[in-house]
Amino acid sequence: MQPLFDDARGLRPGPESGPAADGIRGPQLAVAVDDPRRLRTIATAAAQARVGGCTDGARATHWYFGSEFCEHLFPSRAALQRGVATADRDGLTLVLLTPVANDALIERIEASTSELPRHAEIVVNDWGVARRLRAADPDRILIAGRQLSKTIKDPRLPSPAWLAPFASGYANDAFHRLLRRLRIARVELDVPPFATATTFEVGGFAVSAWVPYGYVAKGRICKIGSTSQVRAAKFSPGGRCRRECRRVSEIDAQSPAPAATPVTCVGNTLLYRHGKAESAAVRAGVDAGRIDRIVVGED
Amino acid sequence: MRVTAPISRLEEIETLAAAGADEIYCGVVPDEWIARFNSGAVNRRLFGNLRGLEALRDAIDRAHRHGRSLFLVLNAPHYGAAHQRALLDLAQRFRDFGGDAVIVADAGLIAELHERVEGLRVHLSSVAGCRNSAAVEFYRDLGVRRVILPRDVTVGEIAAICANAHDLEIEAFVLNDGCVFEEGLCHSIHLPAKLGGPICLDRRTPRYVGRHGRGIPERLGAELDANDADYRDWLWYRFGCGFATTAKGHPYGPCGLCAVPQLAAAGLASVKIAGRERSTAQKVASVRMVRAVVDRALRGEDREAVRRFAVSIRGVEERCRTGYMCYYPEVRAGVP
Repeated sequence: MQPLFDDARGLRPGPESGPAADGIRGPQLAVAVDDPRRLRTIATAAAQARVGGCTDGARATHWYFGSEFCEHLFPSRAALQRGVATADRDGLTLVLLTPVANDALIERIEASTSELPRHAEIVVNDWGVARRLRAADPDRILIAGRQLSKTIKDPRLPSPAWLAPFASGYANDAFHRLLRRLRIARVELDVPPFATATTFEVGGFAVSAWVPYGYVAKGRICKIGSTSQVRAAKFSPGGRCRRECRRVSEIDAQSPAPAATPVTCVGNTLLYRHGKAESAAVRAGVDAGRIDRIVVGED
Repeated sequence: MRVTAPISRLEEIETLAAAGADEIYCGVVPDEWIARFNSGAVNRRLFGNLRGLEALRDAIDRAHRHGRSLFLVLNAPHYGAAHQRALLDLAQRFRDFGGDAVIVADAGLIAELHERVEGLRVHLSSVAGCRNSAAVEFYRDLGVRRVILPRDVTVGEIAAICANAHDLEIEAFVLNDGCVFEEGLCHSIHLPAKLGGPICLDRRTPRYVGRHGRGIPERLGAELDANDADYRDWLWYRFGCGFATTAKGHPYGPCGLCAVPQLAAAGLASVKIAGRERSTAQKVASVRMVRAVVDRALRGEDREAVRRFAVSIRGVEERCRTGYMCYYPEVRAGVP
């Protein structure tokens, strides 16, 4: 896999902006790190990279912790307590990532919120999780995760003409009304191929953009998570794993995607890495005032 | 428990009704849609749709003459504002024709239909990926009357959802069509082969790399290679044993026939046969298989006897025993 901040991949700093250049505040910088021991390293690297117009020397303000793609990676109560302590130590706002859930996991997610400080935020990727958490706490800050915001994000598409029949759901008023009904505070977006600044206009909601990866598809069946199971138990819904995805990712040795956007697989999720066009779109979204938070994901 | 089956041609309605389908679903591409959007992307499938509103009206009439319900799929994962306005008009026409329910995935569209198309019954598509009781409540708030669960849920999870669903109906997959990914969480297009083909066929050539600058231990590397070999087998089963049928024309999988008694006991309202794009012969064979198993379950036959019968239909017990052909592998043949 490419290093997190590889200039050749288009994640190099853009033109100067922010307080050092023009007195305008840049976007918030957040890091998504699953292991607290890497938090400071990643946060420092993210700040130095000035992704999407974050100024040199800007510091990360938010830490995304948990998992939005896998039910097995939702943190235990003890891990969450350690995460809260780490965030407090480093002066970061904790943002808890939650995945699509079954009934049992929803109970765990709801119970875990009692461990979170009031200012912590929760990313929901399941309408059921959103409904349950909002009913339990009218004031909790809820964020609509990437799995609730639908659009085509296939990195193999040769031109934007292919997208014409499949309009994005982001700009739809009916979607915005649902978000308001649940008092969603923010919307998280990937950067799809052929994005422009207007891609990030979502009914006046605060918008975060994830870099340098977007997700194309995810399954509940997890290939790598089946590694430790006997053959008869592999590739089943809900099967247990050894969290191999924390140690190993998979790249397609013969990816059909354009060279700038190789497809990689982490656990049950297929991802594409941004090319220069996607990085430019993030910058344009920031400059247009439509993106106010950059979430930097790990390699 | 009802048997819900797909059609793509009008004449299939009578044929599938005779074979044992209780409910029929279809897609339609109106001429006005093509003229306006220069595309046939009205629903999740570009192919396997009826053409034109007259065909839709005819389908409803034919289904009702045979005492069957007819549902219309409007089940793309997302629509733009212009498409949504056109769908509201299409849904009104469908209701006025006497159609029984629309099958929808986009939560925003569901909310709009509930507010703007009075008297229209809405079923939640499996594409929405509703996987828990709280999500069922969310969609109930939007006026949904039936939830079609996605693939890759367990029988236990279905039972829990049914127990909490009260008057809302639950439907689950029983036969045909698998995917590696969750439909509602797939943001790709089934591209032509020269551009890589459907991403869900998962024909990637894997190469594993250690994360965070670490290597891969030798033992884990060997396990990953062995796992890949099993995965290639699973893919073959997942896609209908190489997109094949038995000599008698029975489709292979994915299949949930062994689980029908448990699903019936859980209170499932209907079982879904997928495959609008399949041939008429395959659809008929599918409906007959499911009907025969459902009838035995509803008569209260012993679960193990029903399971033995289900496995006997294709006569390939060794494939059934792998569990790789199953929607619900926890109740497959050979597992106590």
